[in-house]
Order: sequence, then structure tokens, then C-alpha cells
Amino acid sequence: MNSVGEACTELKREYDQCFNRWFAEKFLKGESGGDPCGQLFKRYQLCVQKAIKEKDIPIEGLEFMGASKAKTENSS
Amino acid sequence: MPRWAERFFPANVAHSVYILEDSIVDPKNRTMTTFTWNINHARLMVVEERCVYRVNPENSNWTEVKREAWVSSSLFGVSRAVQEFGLARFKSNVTKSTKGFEYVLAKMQGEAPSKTLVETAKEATEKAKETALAATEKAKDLASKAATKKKQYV
Repeated sequence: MNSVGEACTELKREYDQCFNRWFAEKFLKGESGGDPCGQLFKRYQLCVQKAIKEKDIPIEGLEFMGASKAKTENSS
Repeated sequence: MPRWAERFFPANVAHSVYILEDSIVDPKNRTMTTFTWNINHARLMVVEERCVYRVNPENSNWTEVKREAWVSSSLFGVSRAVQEFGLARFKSNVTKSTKGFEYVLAKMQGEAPSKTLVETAKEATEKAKETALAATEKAKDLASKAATKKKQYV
């Protein structure tokens, strides 16, 4: 899948490769320590943040897992 | 967006929708939760979906996924139609994506895709109907409350 910023797709690919390897071989096996992909992530993130500004994508006030809304069976 | 709606929401036509997906993986409890929603076109309609993946309590060889969706719109009146359109579109997309999901799973496990998809789709349709009905009732209720409010100011 491409990055939201076309210029960032290659950086995304590199980061994804690193992440997927760490995820399958370390995290899921119970070793959550270490941060082998931190640098790759920072580079990719900078690129994406630039693309988001350029495309005017509204990212203010967003919460993790849409946290501001409590989602229950009875919500409308 | 359906053609009839383009006239009402010209600003939204030809703008891509951006979607965020947040996820939590809990390898200890062996669950994964994803929450997906659109972060633009939100004044028109918001669709949120939460999927919870866990080990099936009756068969630990199975992974089960519970999928919930909420379709909402803050503009009442026209929005009831927008909400129902959103729900209908979501239902058909869910069928497609579930088919894709099951197809990939079957291929990974070297088997022919099973027939259980039909049962799953039926259940999803029923739940979606109930949710759309609840949304319609709520919209009616709020619209009539708004109409009552107006009278008081005359």
C-alpha cells in the first residue's frame, strides 16, 4: 500500500519491512524490548507530516482509538 | 457519494476520504482490536468500525472477529437519507471485504473457501437493519424535538 504522501512510499516500505520483522520475530514472541526501527520511523514520519500539511488533512483533536467517544452497544 | 447528494454537498465531491485505523495488539491475552474511521468529510457523515479479534472460547484453533459499525451524520433531515445510504454502502462493502478476507484465509490454509460466508452475511444484514432502524427513530425523535423548540420561540 502506498503512503498518503507519494514521495514517502519508499520510506514507508523500508519502515514497514523493519517493523514487520520486529513484530513477527520479537513482539509476538514476547520480547517487546528494543527499538530497532526508531530511526526509520522518524524519517518516514517527518515525510508524512509534510504531506499531511500540504494536503490539508485535518488531524487536529484526533484521539487514539477515537477515544473521545465511548462506544457501547446502546450508543446511537 | 450518490449522484443525488452531489448537489447538496458540492464541497465534498472529488475530495478523497482519509481514513485512520488505530490498533492494539495484546499478545498476552491474544486479542487484537482495530478502530477505523474517516477523518474528513466528517460534517457530512462519519463511519466508525471496531473489530475485536480473539480466540474462540469453544475452539482454541479458531480466531473469531466481532465487527461493529456506527454510521452517523450531524445534519438532520437530509442526513437520515445520508445515514441510510452510508449503512447500505457499508453493508455491501462488508460483504466484499469479508469475502476477500475468507478467500485469503482459505488460500493460506490450502482449502476451498467455505459456505459459512452466507450465514455471516445474513447476521450482519440483520444487525445493520436494526441499527438503521434505531438511527431512523432517533433522527425522527430529534427532528420532532427541534420542531417543538421552534414553536416555543414564535
